[in-house]
Amino acid sequence: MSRHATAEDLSAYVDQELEPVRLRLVEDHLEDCDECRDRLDGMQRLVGDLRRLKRLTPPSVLGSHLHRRIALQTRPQNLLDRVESRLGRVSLQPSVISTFALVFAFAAILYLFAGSLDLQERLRIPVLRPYPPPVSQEALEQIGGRSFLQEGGLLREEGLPKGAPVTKIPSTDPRALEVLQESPDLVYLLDAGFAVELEHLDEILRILPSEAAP
Amino acid sequence: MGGEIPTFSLPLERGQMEATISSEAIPESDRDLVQRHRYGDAEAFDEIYQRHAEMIYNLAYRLSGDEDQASDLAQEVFFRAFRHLERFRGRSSLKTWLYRVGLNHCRSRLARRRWFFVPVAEGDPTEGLQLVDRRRDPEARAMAGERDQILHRALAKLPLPFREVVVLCDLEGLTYEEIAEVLGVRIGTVRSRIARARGKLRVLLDTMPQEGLP
Repeated sequence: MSRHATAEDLSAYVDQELEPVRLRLVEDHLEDCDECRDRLDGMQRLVGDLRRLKRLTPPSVLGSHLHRRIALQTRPQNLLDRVESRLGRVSLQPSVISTFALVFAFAAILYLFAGSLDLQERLRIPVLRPYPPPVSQEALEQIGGRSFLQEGGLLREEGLPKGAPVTKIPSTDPRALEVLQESPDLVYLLDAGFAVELEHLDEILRILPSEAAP
Repeated sequence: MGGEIPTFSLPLERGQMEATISSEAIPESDRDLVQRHRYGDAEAFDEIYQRHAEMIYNLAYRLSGDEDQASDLAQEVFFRAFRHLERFRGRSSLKTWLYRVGLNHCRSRLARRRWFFVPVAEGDPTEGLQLVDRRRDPEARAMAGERDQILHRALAKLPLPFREVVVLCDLEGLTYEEIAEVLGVRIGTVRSRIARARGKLRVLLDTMPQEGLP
């Protein structure tokens, strides 16, 4: 070994981790090289100092805290305990808390401003209207001054000629809108899923509820 | 744990002297303890803790630099070990496995902070780190204590990968093979990393102010 020993060689030499062949080479070199012996001394002093660093004894509370934690973990848990412990674990994570806070804040803002922005209209959210009383013969007679008879899902105006041609139109048809303008209460019946058959301008129309419109 | 050590008396042959075998003479292996833990023996983990608490606590202390932090870290490490001990397959020793759990946990915790606890030295810096024998007289002990502080501060300045190998090799006394197992790297990597870490440590010790040494 003509060149100086590497730091890696000297380090492994101090730790007695050199392979036999390499060990012999390094030892031979160290016999002749003062410089490498000095470097080795320095490394040995450093390692010796590190190895003599005072070791600490674990505090006694460490064991007792661990015992308590393990006891909490292993005791039989009912549903409430499990939820509690899960919540406890979740609450330890700041990212989860901040995410929940953001979601909550966003929901609150949306709720507060929903009314003023009239979001229901903008988003076409169906609005619940007061529902008419259960359909009865008496009630039907009151609608727009016309009398209707119920035939299953169809409310037929009384007195319509049988066998006459019927024009089926959706509730959004202009003719249907005219009828509904005259008799707004019919909207409730269409909303309830009934089709309404009536005479309008010498034509017999069957206004289909919006879901059933072709 | 603790308590009275059970003894077993062997049946005697005619003319044979009475003999008693203490269970203390046959220490239970770590693998047996793990097996007992799997079968639900609560005392088995206590024994594992007793055997390895000092080792894990000192690892945590040297990596974090603070005793309170080390206590928290060690508690977390043992709690993790308790929960995941069933995953221990026995391919490595329990000691190596615990070191791996400890190191991974310390890495993840210490990565979140950029600071390191360093004891504040008192007095005036006058001399470099010249090694002195740890004699029993108070002056030598005081110097040794101050040198410990200097080494501790130098360790704190080492980048974590280098600090890890120095702690495992020089302070915990692991072989290169064991360190390779703990870190999950090849022995060659361990060898070069230790050499580089010692080189860096030497440079740090030579350049940093030696507060506290007389």
